[in-house]
Amino acid sequence: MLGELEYLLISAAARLGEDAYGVSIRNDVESTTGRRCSTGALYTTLDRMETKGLIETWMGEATPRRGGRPKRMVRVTAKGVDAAREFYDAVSAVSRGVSWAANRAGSPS
Amino acid sequence: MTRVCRKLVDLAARALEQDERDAVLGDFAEHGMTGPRALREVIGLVARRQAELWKRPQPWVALLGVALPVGMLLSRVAPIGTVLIHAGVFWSHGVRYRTGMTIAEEITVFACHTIAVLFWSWCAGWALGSMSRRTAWVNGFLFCVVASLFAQPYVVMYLPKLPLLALLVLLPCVLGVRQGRRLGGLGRRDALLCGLALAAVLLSTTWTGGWPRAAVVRWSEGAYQARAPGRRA
Repeated sequence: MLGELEYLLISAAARLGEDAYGVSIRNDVESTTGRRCSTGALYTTLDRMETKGLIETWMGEATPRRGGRPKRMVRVTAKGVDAAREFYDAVSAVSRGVSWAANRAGSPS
Repeated sequence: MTRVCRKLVDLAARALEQDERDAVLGDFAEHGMTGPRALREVIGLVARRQAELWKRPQPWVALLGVALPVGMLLSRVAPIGTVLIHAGVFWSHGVRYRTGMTIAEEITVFACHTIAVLFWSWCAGWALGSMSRRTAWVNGFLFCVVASLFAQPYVVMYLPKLPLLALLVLLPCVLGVRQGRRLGGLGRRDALLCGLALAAVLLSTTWTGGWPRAAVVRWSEGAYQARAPGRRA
């Protein structure tokens, strides 16, 4: 099963779609969770997920805004989608009946 | 401050693979991340990458099989520390130690052991570079530290001379690491030449290694040998 950070990154990449790359994923995770995501944690986790076949990465175009350096683009694979769904189902299942999950908008019933 | 940090960030990022370096430095530029935070971030990533590499056996084989034992042997076998201290004293005060050897013998001992230290340091660096490319700099650094700090105990009394000793080990080691990383393994002919050179250096140090002690024995007319530890008068 996915780890917590893996799930956060895979969700951010899926939400961003074609615009998923290092900075955008990091910004998405930080704004959504309110937690800091370090460069080290981001890139080592992306590597680990790529090794597991959960995502694909490739070097994108270089832009002047980035000092002429390319982006590392990210795409979630079908295996990654399955793993994320499995993680979500597991978290939803174990959250049933607990006080912090009850009566929350979007919480599984 | 920012310029220094930028240079340090670039320097630290050189430990990363080319693609990752570009992606990370591009992210910093886009994010507007500069100064100490960028430095902290890149050092964090480099540390995580190194930690991952050290989970494999190759870096440990290079460390325990080459860097530490060769470094310690190098510091023990070659009396280069003594020779350097004598040379340093002569250079700064114009006084020559009375070693009992002739000048020709001293120059021969100095030349043989200097060549040995340079060549063995290069060999160790080359072995580290070709065995485990991405951890070679960490292992090379440890090798130099061990070779310098474990040198004969009395060298520690002459700490100002240690940088010179480190330089003799450091420069050829860095050169060896760079060549080892670039070339990988040696061809048969080069390996044979390297083996012959190693044997020649070993023979020359063995041949001249006993000269300083023999000179003292000769100078003391045998008294030094008679009073040597573990020997009955």
